[in-house]
Amino acid sequence: MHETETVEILLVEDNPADAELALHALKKSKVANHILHVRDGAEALDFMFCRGAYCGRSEENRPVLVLLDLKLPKLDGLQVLKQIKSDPRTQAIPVILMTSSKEESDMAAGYRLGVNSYIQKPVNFGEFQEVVRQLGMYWLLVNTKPPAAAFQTR
Amino acid sequence: MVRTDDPYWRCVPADGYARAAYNSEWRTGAGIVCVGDVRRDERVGMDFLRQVFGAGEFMPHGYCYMWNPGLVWLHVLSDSLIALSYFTIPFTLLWFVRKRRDLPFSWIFVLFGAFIVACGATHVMEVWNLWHAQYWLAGGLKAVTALASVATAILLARLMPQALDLPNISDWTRANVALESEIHERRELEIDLRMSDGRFREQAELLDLTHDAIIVRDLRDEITYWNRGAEELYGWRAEEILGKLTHELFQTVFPKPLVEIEAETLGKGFWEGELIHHRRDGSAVTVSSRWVLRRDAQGEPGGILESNRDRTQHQQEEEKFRNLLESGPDAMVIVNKRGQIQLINAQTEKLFGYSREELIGMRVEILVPQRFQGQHSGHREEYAQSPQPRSMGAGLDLYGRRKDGSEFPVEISSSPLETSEGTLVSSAIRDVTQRKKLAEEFLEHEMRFRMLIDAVQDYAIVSLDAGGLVTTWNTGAQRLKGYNSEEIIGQHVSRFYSRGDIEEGKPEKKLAEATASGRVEDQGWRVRKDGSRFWSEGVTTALRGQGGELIGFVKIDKDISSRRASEEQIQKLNAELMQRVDELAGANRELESFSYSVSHDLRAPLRHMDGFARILREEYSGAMPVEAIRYLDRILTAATHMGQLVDDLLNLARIGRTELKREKRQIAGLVKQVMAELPAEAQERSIEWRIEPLPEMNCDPGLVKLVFANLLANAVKFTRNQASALIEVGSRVTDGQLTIFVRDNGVGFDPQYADKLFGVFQRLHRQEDFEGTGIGLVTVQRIVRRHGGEIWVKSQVDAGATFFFTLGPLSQSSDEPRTKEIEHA
Repeated sequence: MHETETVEILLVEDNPADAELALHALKKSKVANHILHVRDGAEALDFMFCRGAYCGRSEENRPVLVLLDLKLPKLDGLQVLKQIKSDPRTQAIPVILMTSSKEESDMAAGYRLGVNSYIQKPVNFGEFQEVVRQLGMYWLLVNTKPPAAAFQTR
Repeated sequence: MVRTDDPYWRCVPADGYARAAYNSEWRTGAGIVCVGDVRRDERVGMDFLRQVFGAGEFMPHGYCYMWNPGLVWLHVLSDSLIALSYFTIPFTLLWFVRKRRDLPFSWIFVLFGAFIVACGATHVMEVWNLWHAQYWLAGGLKAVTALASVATAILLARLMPQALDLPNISDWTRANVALESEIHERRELEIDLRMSDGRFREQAELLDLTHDAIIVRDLRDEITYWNRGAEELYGWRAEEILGKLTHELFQTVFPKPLVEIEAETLGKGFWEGELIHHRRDGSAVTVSSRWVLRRDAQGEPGGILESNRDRTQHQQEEEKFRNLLESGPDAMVIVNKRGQIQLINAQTEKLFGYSREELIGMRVEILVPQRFQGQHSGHREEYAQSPQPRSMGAGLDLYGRRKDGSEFPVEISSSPLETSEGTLVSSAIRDVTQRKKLAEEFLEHEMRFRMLIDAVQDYAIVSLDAGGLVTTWNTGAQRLKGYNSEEIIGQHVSRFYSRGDIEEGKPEKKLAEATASGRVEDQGWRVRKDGSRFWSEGVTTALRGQGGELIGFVKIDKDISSRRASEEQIQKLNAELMQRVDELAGANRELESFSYSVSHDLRAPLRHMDGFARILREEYSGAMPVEAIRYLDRILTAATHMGQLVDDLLNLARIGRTELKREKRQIAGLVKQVMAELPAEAQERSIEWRIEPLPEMNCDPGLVKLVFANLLANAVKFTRNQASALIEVGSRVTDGQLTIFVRDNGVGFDPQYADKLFGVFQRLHRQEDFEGTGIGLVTVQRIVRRHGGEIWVKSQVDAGATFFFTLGPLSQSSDEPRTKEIEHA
């Protein structure tokens, strides 16, 4: 798992088209080189907590940002969010929910669980590209990453 | 022992001399004393005594006997013996007199005793003077003896005729025999007397018992008997009064000369009348007096028995009686045995219209209608045979007749009245016109009420007695329950209940509940005569008498089997409906998840289409012919439209689902927010906005905002071709309802299609002229309706359109600021 060593953005997206468009937009915005795309919630958690396929990964090597879709096979986005935000090893990592859902209940649940940002994907791809560019800029360049002390390791 | 110088020597000692000396001393002694009294000084008294008790110059009598001892002793012994004997006789006599007190003339014994003592004393003196010459004393004693002797002689002489009357022995014997028989008779008489004494005492007691004053007087008017009644009436006690003269005592005032009264009493044997007497305390009392002549065994008038009764009290009683008669509410008529009116009261005059004078003495039938007169006198005579207090004409209608001939119904109760004038009949007559009328009215009411109850067909109206037995039964009951009244009256109410209810004791329980709480409502299966059942609804009411005691019950029942059936139907429908609601709720949940899927899954392919088409166009447009690029643009436009459709549909769906969250909000503020968020076109174009002041309203601000967003966006859109676009927002109050309007001067539409405007996907313009999804107005309408309001529109082609909407009653909106009416609305 060579590429996992330097993951900057973890993209959790089951739909390949969405994933491709997101990756396209991210690449075009040139804010990150190391993006890992996982296809379901279980895999995302395996990565976050270094287990299953990602058991050899170092916990110290944390992603800078998690882009999380709501509708996922196996574990849905809110469940993934809950586990990340309730574990001291991962709760300081910024998580952004990117979803087509405009449902209030989804938004409310996301914020209650401690999501750092909630973005509704615009239908218009131009707008989407712009949103992705802005959030990449912000979280990877503008925002100061949480220090190591923000993470409790076992 | 005798001395010669003794003064007694000069005395003449002869017997004849002595006798003469007695007489001379009797005559002259006093003279001597008197002479001595005159002659001598203050010592005369002493001299007299000395003279009497002294010997003086006299010689003792023994000298006369020459002191011959034989002679002296003869005298001494004889005189002593005589004196002794004389002295014993009075004692014997006294003893005799004391022992025989019954003897008449005892005083003569005493006198005789005194005379003998005096004689004895003279003889003692004779002995004494033999030696002492106290002749004065002896003479005095003789004088006393003489007085006693003379008195005794005279009185004895006078006593002789009486003494001669004293019976001699043969008389005594006869008398004794007579006495014995008399004693015997007397003993018998005593027994009789004792018996008659008892009777007498009893009679006297009886006389005392009577309240009347009973006085017996003899012909000289002296009172000989006076009973307790007399004591009470007059105040004197019998012992004070016996022997007094009656009329003097009472100062009687007679109604006519006493002579006449006495003559009448003697002639007829009695007299009756009123007298005025005076009591002991001087007060006058009027008495009704009855004198009866008493005759002795020979039939000779012996006295008068007078019995007096206090009229004052009687008069008061009469007064009372009269008051009683007059004060009663009824007309009182008192009739004698022959049916003649004796007495009436004022009520009678008033009731019958006759005066008292007109009625007294008339036959009572004058008060009875002609047609009843014959039978009335018959009844009256029957009553007179066995008079008892009772109401007259029980069960009959009785009528009275007034003086003017009019008749009126009466009620009469009569009772016999015992008087000194014989048995009278007293009748109380009451005019019952009013009562009769009331009773008739009551009867009529009752009849009507009964008919009314009986006429009720649909309700079984049954009355029960306190024990639950049927007492009345109407037609409705017969119809409902199948029994006719003859079958059911007297039967117990439980007959209408089902076997199960009876076993549970329900009929009794219901009656007990009604008794406790006044009424009880009840529903349940009841059984008809033929055994079929019906569902009954009814009420049982307890009836109570004036004293609050339970009289019975009224039970009203109705057959509501059909209603029950419909109720059951309704319940069934309700249950079905509830099921449908559940189903709908399920469907709604499915719809929700559908909407969710739509928003999430439907949008995703659109994004992909748009995304990839855009990448193609941006990154590969150089390698594509113009035609291909144009097709790509059509794809992009379609994707955008599809995205809009999805968003609008999701909005619409959400409005139906989400709860209304009302709060007070300034409408104007909402409008301003919406204006700021309008599409870029609104800002770019030159549009005149006229926003009137708008009130605060109680609404869901998010949704109302959506209303304005749609309406204003429409207004902007449809004024696109106007040279000077005008958009107005305002409000007005009509019938307590706040109406908000949004007006534009855009293209408008043909009003005949106005009803299509609020249909989903309904559009009145071509897509190439004015884009749209046909969902906006539907959403607006749904929001308005959810607020309890309404939306409507006025428009003409090329004359703009005005949308009006309300958000429910104004009371839900705030009181101020009120918007003024918009004149040009």
